Amino acid sequence: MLKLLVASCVVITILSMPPRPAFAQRQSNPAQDRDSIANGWRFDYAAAREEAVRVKKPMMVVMRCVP
Amino acid sequence: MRVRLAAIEPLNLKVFDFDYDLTFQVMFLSPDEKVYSRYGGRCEQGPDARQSLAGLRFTMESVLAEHRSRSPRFAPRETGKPFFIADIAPPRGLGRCIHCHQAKEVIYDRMDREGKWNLDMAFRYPPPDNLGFVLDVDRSNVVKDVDRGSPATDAGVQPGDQITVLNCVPVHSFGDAGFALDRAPKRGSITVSWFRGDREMSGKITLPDRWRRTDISWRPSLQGLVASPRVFGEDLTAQEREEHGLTATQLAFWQKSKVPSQAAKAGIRPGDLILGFDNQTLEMDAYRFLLYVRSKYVTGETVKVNLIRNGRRLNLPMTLE
Repeated sequence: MLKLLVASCVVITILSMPPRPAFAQRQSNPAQDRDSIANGWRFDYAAAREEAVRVKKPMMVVMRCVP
Repeated sequence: MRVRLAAIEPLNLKVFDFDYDLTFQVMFLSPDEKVYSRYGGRCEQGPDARQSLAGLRFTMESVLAEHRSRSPRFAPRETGKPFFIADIAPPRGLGRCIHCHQAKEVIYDRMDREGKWNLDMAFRYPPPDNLGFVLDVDRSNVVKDVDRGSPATDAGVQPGDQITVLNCVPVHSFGDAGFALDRAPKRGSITVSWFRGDREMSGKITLPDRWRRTDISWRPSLQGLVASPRVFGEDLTAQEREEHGLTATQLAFWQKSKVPSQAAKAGIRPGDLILGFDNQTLEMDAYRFLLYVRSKYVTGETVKVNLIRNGRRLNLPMTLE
């Protein structure tokens, strides 16, 4: 009975999680992301574009599909 | 301003219009989303065959020079209402998480459903190699080699020339050249401009028949179109070649006893002496013929299978499935 209760809770938890956008391809290494940000990389295109308009600089937008 | 993105859903595909069958792509944009350049691109030789860090740096410097110039040039771009991949329902099997390289599958699926798909769309972003010139990987818009007698030679392009514009698209990289050629017509000619030393020169490249044809077998979005000959067997011995008046190296093999349905529908039988397709004398063995067909044909095309049966030459039409 207890096992059934635990299993049900797990299933309900999984089903109630909201669908995530395509971050499946994103590096799953937060330390690397922190390093990237510290080195001036941005991950939000809209925000980067606003800043590019403000500082009048071109953008280099890198798209990678992590295999 | 450096931006790293791993999702295609939030991007306006009228701006981010590039060869989606990629593992790496860089778009150089002005703040108002005009496109300076595209860096990236690959071919059947592998994902790194057309790019290098030196090449990326070369393109970055070229783009910065363009940005700082008095009249910077930009690639042509579709304008109007933004277009997002979420505007199209994905085909079955693809969920809401869409990788960049799946964008084409989504777009082609919609075109197919609307009856707008045709085989020409399989040959997107043809490389400049198809017109006879190869760009240097490390100096991205400099010509490394030119094939003798090719349309590029006829236009006057030579090794060492720095391509500046191709088909009205400014060129800083292989990616730009591919984008320029993607927009080129099936036939006719396109203009090309280049620097030779400090001399600016230009010419016209005549587009030969089937010039867009490229090996598509590496493209994840087009796996369903990769054709197979469905004929195979033992290559002829030297004596058998002599008996049939064939050269020592031309394609010639005995169709084996099991005939796949595609070939059987065309009327091919076990023991037929297969010589190739479409009256071409091919210098290869039966195995390389498999690779040749993958690189030259797509499913849905009809070929003429050239063969000898009981001493008689036959040409049987076969549709590649």
